[in-house]
Amino acid sequence: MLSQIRKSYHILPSQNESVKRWKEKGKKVFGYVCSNIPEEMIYAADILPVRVLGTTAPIVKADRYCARNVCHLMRSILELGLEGEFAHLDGMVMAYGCEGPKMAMQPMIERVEFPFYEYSFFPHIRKPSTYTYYLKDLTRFKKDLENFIGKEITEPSLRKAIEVYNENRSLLRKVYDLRGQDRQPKISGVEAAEIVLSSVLMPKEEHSKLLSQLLAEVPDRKDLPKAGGPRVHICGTALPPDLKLFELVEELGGIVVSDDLCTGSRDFWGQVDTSLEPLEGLVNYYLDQKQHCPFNYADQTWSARLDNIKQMMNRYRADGVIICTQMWCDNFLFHRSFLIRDLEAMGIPVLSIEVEQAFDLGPLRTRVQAFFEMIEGRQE
Amino acid sequence: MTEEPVIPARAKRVLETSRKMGAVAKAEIATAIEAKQIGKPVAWAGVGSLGELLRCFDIAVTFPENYGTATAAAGVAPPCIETTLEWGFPRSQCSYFTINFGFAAGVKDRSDIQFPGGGMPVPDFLLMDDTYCVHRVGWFRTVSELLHIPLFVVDGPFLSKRQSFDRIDDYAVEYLASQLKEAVLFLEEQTGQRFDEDKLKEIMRLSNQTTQLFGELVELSGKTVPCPVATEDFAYLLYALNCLIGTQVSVDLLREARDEVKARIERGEGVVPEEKHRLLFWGNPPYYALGVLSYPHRYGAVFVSAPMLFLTFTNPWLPLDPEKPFESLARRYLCQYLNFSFDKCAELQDCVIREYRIDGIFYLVNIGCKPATAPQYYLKSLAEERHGLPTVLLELEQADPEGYDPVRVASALDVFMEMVEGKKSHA
Repeated sequence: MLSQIRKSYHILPSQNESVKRWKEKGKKVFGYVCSNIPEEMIYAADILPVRVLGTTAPIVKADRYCARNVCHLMRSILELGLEGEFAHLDGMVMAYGCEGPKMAMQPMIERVEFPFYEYSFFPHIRKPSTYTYYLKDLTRFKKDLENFIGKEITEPSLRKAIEVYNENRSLLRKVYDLRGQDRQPKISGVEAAEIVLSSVLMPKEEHSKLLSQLLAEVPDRKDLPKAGGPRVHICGTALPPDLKLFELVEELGGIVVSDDLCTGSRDFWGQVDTSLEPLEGLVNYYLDQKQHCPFNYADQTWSARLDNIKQMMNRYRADGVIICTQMWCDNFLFHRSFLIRDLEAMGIPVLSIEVEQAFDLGPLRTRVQAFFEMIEGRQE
Repeated sequence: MTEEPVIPARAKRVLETSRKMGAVAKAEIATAIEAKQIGKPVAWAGVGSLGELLRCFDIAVTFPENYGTATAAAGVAPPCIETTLEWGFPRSQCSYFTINFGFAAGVKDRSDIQFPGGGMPVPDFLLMDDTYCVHRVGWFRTVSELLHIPLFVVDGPFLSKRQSFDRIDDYAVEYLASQLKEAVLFLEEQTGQRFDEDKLKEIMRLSNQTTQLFGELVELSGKTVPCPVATEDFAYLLYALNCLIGTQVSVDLLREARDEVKARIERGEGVVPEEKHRLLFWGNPPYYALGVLSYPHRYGAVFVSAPMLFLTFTNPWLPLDPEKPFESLARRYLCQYLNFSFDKCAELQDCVIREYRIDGIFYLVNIGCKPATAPQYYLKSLAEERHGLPTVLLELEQADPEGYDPVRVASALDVFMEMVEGKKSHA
């Protein structure tokens, strides 16, 4: 079943089969940058939102408009835009959460034509007034979308989109549970990461359907992933979309059992509360449940992030943490030293690595090997 | 015989007012140290969005961003930065942060280092806003964590392309205004003092005078030929705008500077004896080597303006309305140029190029400062495409001298000036 999912997505929109099929129905497709975009709203407008995640290719054209002090992820997205990769998209939705997107997405707005674009501010704190602000801004975004599509986004369509997304989130959580809750994983870390990756690159209903079938097949699976090696939690922001880190961990005998990445669990954990008005439900979900983003500087955020890591590690019995920092990601870097200090104080083995364009796999292999030895040494 | 440095460390200043600004800043630090000793509340705050409110309370406020520039100029930034690196923070982060964190993490107590004014006193609490730069809040969060003191954060929404000076979402203004009211409650709680709205209104009037005088100075500098006062002097005058806003001292200092400039204009005195080229500067200057700004003087060239530097923390063309204190403060704080989209920065650049008769632009990329760096590459492409201007882009951090190579900088500026001269001779 994973092979069927694999046929349905691609990190480049121009090569994504799901995008092609959606467009063939005469419907619109938007790209979006950042996991804090309320996709449900776009989906309710009968537009397919697909996340743009960049590539590990070198930067050439984007260097003319963006300094090197921005993460490769964002510069790579700008590069793709300047290369014309998004030419067939009907819109692009971006959020100002941190300075990187501001530096890389603004030249894109100026230099790449989109029939529709949205570049909104995503709050950095959480106070009662933050919820009011975000509700008003989502309402404004809804109106802008309605003007673009020429019709109202009705409450039933928004409720339906929320249900579709909630269902997908709960299925993804089952994938995580099947991977990490038992000593013997039923799904590997690489497979789980690929499933999450594909979830942001194809229609959620279609993804949920394939995922349900896959989950039904898993109990009878014969080729189970290897068990008994170090169980790893990956902490960070967004990883390059090639899953190389997951592959390396598993090639060396370990398994990634959990994460708090925005290209991982942070993208789908939790549920939008359907007992609330749809917009209110979305506001609460995006402000509260995705609160572990490093550009959230509300009081207690850092301790909440640490608690979240501990909970994930307990739930999935992780032995150690690999902290993976995107080079130039200042928001994460502000937090990292304290995070390492606090994790180590709890006796948790930590490996801190950085990535820019792509992982430097040679030296990284040695470091992960040494990290595994450290974990095994402590277990003895 | 001593060899002259390729680029002198100090900039050439023409105003008496800017020459005494260092002493004013040191006196402020000394006052803060005294205040700490007698038990007055001490705060560290971000430059920009809270100055007027802070002045409503009897507290000693110091501004680590500005102090970072002073630390760099005094040559004592490296030990602070090294301490921050030992904590695991990379050198690529904002040098105001790397200096301040190291200072707070223990370097402040070293008796072998002479910090300007004796060193900022340790604060009791922190206030910071994220308008145009969220990393400033990240920095203050680390200091809050390090010193175990409270931090109040003000969240200022970015104004995307659909918004402009006269078209800002009301709910964005309301959001910021409500937080400013909460900042008042925070300050009341921390200081045990009562907020006095009448005092705020008076401070806002002084603030308006300060920004008006500063705006006047910017216009006189940019529009007068020959340029009577250059960016070198502004690098010091900014202290009055950024750190003393809302006080009579700032008004007096800037009025004095304005009068000096007017007198120079009457006498026909330019920054350079025979002005040939008028240049624009973008970015934060390297405060450990401000002589870089005076280097083009040898070509008869002068930096007549530095829009980003002047307009980062306030907007001189948006007066405060004391009758609507919180709303108008919120509106002005939102209208800082770096909080607007790139197209508004481009409009500003186009306008300045035309009105100030600019011959070339020097973009200084501060690799640790993403907001200052953000529009520069795009603006550079526009300066070339729309105006055919010679430009040069260099990387230098504003307060960390690591990697500063005067020979490389001089060489790049020599080539740039040849381009400027070549273009003018062709014309």
